[in-house]
Amino acid sequence: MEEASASGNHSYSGSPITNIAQDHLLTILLLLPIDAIFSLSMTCKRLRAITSSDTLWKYLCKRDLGSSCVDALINSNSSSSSSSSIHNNNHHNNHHQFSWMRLYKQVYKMDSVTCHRFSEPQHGQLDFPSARASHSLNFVSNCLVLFGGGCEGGRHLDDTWVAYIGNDFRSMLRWQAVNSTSPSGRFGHTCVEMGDFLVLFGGINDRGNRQNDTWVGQVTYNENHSVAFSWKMLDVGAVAPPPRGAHAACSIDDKRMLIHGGIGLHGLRLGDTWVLEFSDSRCFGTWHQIVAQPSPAPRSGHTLTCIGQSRTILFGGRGLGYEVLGDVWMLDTCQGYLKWVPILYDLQGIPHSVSLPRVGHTATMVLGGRLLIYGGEDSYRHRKNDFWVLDVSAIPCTSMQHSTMSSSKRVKDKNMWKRWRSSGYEPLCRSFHRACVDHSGRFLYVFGGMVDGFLQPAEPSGLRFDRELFLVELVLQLRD
Amino acid sequence: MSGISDTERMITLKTVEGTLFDVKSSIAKDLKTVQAFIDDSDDDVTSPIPLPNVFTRELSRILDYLNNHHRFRSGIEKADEEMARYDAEFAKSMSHEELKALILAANYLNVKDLLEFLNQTVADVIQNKSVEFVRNFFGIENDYTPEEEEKLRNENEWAFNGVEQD
Repeated sequence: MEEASASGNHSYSGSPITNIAQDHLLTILLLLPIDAIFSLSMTCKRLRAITSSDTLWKYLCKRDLGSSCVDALINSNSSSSSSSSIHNNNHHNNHHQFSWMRLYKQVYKMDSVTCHRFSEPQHGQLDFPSARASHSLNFVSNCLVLFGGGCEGGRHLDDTWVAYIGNDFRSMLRWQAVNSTSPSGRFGHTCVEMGDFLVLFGGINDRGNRQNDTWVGQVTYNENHSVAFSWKMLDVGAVAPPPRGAHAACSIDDKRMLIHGGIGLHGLRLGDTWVLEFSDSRCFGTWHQIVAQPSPAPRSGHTLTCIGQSRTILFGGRGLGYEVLGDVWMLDTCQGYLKWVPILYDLQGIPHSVSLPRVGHTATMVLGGRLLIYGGEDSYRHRKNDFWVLDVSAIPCTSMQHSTMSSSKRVKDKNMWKRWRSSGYEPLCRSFHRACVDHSGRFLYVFGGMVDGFLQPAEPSGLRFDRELFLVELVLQLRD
Repeated sequence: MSGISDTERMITLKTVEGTLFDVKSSIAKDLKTVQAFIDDSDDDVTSPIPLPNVFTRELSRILDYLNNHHRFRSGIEKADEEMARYDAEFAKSMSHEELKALILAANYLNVKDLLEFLNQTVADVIQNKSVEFVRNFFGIENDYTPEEEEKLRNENEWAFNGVEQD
């Protein structure tokens, strides 16, 4: 049989194993964490050349940062006006002007955010949402959508606001009030993005009634290109979770939504877990309860965030004894069943960690596989304005699926939590605000919440409701 | 010759050392290089097919893997766990030299599933290891000067932040 070189062996000098075709080597590279790729690059010059390929790093960015993030980066770079750089003229189908390896490095090393304030609405200007807390704020279909919340005197709100986010959002962001049927007024409800839809559940009204209705909403574009939003109550059949507010919710995947805990009837803190599963048409859904041991203790004012691959992270909240919690739990699929797994971490050696337990904070997945936690109240009843990052890749992978970033990487405990610096505008200390991130994972929008008043910051009477919208940016230098 | 169904036909393979292996044609299909040879032949292949790049030890391992995987796939459902256990044992049973030799043989014979598995095994071996270890594993000669190497280590320092090496 002739020596059919099915994979194109070349006769290089060097060991036979590295003579294996380049695309075979690239397949192995894509299975490695980046430190192993750099170890390979330092073995010899030929491997350094192979591992420096910009195509390889673009694949690594897609693998570790996600395709939607990579697409958003390419779009944001091509839409901004710039003269093309001579550097990449050889790549005929690449329009980007930055190096993917350099971008990956920037994302990896990121340890701070920059905050920007949107211009203050003029006094008396009506087209801006009023001050509130425990509302919902989401980014869906290129728009910010805000609903409900509580304000002065414990009153609830039932207004829906939409703002289209275009490329010029920094200079031109306009809220539009939406006139359509909406869920009844409430605060402490949850609203979760699922594809192009928002799914709203529960909440409390100003008579103290807890709700358990489920609503689905969608952005609509009118003929004159203005944006609107429409709500519809979801048919869930006979079974629904007990009514509640101040619970936590997030999507598990594009068909399922998860909720946990909250404050139910008679002011009791709950610790139950429920999943809403949508039909293919999204016209109806079915609730069912997940009963599993162990399971996070009852709490309210905590957060649930989807971190990809059908895994979700629960953090913080206020427990049965009114104490502020700092535990982390992950909901994962094990042998076909959803299971809660406690994620233990050691606070020794993490500076400022005494303020880590939080309630009324926000936790959002941002660029680079990080959970960005902002604000909230700590155990000393202080409202905070700091930024903490939970590194998702430092969480051990419990499922059978092989994960490139964390599988056999032994990471020291202190890498799981990091406090990030913030520059630019210094945001007020706040709790029960809301935040959401855009598709690139680089821009976090924050609105409202309860902020310290001017009279006596520590006293409850010293607080006021806020109406500020500000931006938290994970800064990237896209031009070389 | 006529009337014998494809799955019952046996193909004979001959290794470098001259050892003969009788292989069911359904298994031979997974050896894409061998299958290509069979497809290209005008007549039925009756004499042993020589494999000048494949040694007995490697072919024996490859056929063992393929036979077991065919068995797992054709059986009842719960085979996933059994298959995972077999794969783990299979990977552990080889020294680094044997692993490399197997990759070369699987690459030559173009055995897709096995290659994917071996790629992952190699990735698992070289993760969290020093540059020196990786050099030794692949038998690579270092063509950097000490200064160049030092410079590279400093440049790439950021990627090793927080990782403990074996």
